[in-house]
Amino acid sequence: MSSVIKIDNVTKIYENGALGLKDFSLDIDKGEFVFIVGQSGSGKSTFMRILLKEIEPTTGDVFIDDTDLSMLKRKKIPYLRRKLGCVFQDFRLLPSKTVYENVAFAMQVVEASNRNIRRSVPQVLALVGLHKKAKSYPDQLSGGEKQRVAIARAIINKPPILLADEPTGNLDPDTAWGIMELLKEINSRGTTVVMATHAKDIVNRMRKRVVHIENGVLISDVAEGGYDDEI
Amino acid sequence: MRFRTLKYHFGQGVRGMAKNGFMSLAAIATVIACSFILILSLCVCMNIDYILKQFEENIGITVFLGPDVSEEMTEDIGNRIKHIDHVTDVVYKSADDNLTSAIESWENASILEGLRDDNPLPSSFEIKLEGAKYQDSVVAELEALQLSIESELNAEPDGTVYLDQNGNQITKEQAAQGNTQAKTEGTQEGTTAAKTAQTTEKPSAPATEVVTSAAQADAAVSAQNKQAEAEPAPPPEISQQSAPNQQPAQSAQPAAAEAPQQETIQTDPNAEAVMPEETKEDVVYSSAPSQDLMNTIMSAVSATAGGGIYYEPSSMSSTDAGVAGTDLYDAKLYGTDGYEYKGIEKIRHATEESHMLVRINTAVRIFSVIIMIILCIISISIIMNTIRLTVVIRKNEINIMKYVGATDWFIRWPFIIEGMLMGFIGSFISTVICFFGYTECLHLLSEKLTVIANIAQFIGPFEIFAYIAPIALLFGVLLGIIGSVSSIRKYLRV
Ligand SMILES: Nc1ncnc2c1ncn2[C@@H]1O[C@H](COP(=O)(O)OP(=O)(O)OP(=O)(O)O)[C@@H](O)[C@H]1O
Ligand SMILES: [Mg+2]
Repeated sequence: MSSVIKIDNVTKIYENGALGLKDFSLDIDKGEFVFIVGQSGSGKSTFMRILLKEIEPTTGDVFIDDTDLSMLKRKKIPYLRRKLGCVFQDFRLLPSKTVYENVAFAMQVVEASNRNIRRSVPQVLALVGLHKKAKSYPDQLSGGEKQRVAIARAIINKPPILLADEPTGNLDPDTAWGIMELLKEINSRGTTVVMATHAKDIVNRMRKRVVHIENGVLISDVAEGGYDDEI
Repeated sequence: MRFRTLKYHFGQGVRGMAKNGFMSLAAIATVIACSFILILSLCVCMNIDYILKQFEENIGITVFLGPDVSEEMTEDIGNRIKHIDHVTDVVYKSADDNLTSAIESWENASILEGLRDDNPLPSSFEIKLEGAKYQDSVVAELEALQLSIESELNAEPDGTVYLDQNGNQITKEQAAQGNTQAKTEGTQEGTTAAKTAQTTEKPSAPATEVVTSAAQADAAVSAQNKQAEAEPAPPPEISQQSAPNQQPAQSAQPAAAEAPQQETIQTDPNAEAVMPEETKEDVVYSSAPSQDLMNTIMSAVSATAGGGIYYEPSSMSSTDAGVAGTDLYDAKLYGTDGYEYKGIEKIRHATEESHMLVRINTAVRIFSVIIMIILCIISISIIMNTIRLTVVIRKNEINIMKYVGATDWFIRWPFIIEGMLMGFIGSFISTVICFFGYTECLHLLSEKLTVIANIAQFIGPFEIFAYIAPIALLFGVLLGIIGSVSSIRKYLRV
């Protein structure tokens, strides 16, 4: 199996001196489902942002699909991001657009044809269970529904990798579990899923690979693990 | 970019504008104000330019021909003038034409009718130029032409060419003059010496008088030959003559000293200043009444030819003997015993006017460019701030677009289109308002202020807006683009 994400000895120190990651190495294979766990401020979001090339590692190399991110020109960043669908705790939907438009937006951005958009959006909305809410605005949706829209938008362009930074952070346990089922479904269709979370119960129930970071340092990496495995 | 993407951007741009209604209106109002000032200054500048052009077209050069210039010669001179750079038009005026226009321009000129049979006026060419700024160079060319015609006419059958010490071709007269000078300095023998002495007694006499009679020229030549025999240093056939300027200071006889300037002296306004007062008077009184009148008429003719803008330097300094003084040299030369001009007699031009026009033109241009630059800076900064606000409002959207993999240009386009639209709408409104305003102004001017309308013609509203409208629209659109591009710049860094 070829690794779709390869992180080699990455250290990230922010401009203000705060430590993000320290001597961090990790390989993620195609089709894997990986939890990134750790306390608040341990460096989970730093890890995600480095993958998105939102920030540059201070030292070390990052490869996505064998592309060295440090060699990637600024102009090419959009094409990297098209390989990485992303979902955030705060949903980040456009309040002025309907559910349908919010999802279609991601396709317009990559200049997909209207025909393609009209065919794909209802399919994805059906996958996340929101085909009946296509015309609603984000304000008219529950938290879980908003996150489903965000997930639909993240996967509409069929990226090989889905990054989710605390996607269940704002949701109650039942709704959260619904989202996890959806992510599991997406993962089962071949998408590599990397999810940062605090939610112990979810990690424990899923029995997937768990990468534990504390203070920017990788302290454990367990296949089919639980949140507290090594501690 | 694909068409559907363009459509998408356009839709987004319109939406953005509609959504930020108030801000968009503010931006449009700014553009209206800016392009209003732009159009206004363009209107003023273009009209000043246009009016100056009208004046400029009326400033011409008049070339008077000597009497008894044959028809072929006239035609030849006309053709040669036409071939001078920046000459747009050459019109031949016969002596009769000139008399007719003199009669027309003079209220009590009916007495001139009597001159029909024995017309003392010269024929002339009226020359129009591409612009006033070319006047100096064309006058220089004409003077060169005058010289070369003269030297051609006086050329020896054997084709001897006379050169001055700088190797420039000069007329035989000039050459003779130089030589005469040398003679006077040296041996002082024979008729030449006598002639020279006689000439130099009259300090004011322009060099032309000394040298233009053929007999005199011959005498000079013979003197030159004699000298050549006596002093073998300059070989007889050499064209290089010892020039007066190289003579020692004691040779400073005015006529001789002035000799090299003989051709240009006619157009040199300062020449008069160096002339003693008695000479001037002498000139005035010595000229026959008919000649006096003729000079006056010549001035009148050139005044009409000059379209009313005519300036004769000497007539400003001496109003009394003004007219006669104006044509001082003509008075002395024209009809002087034994002298006849064979080619171009006189070149007349209005240097001051043309220089002034060129200066005004340049000043107007510089001024309008400065105004434009200031205006552009102000407008761009206002538009920038306006669009920056709409960008801030859509910061979220830009962020999301970045996350889903939008290219920088994809993010820019809707804002650019929004800016372009606002710029276009603003400058369009401004153009329409200004068009009607301009039309109305022209109406008022032609009705209420007929005086101004008589002096100068303004550019028609359609003609001027055919130029201004595209400029204004482009200006508005560019303002919008620059404003939006510069305001989204910093939000592209995600
Ligand atoms: N932009 C930044 N500038 C400076 N320091 C930062 C920045 N972002 C994060 N940090 C610091 O880097 C460290 C790691 O932060 P990070 O956001 O990766 O933590 P996290 O694991 O995502 O925490 P949470 O679970 O609360 O989201 C923290 O100490 C944080 O203060
Ligand atoms: Mg975080």
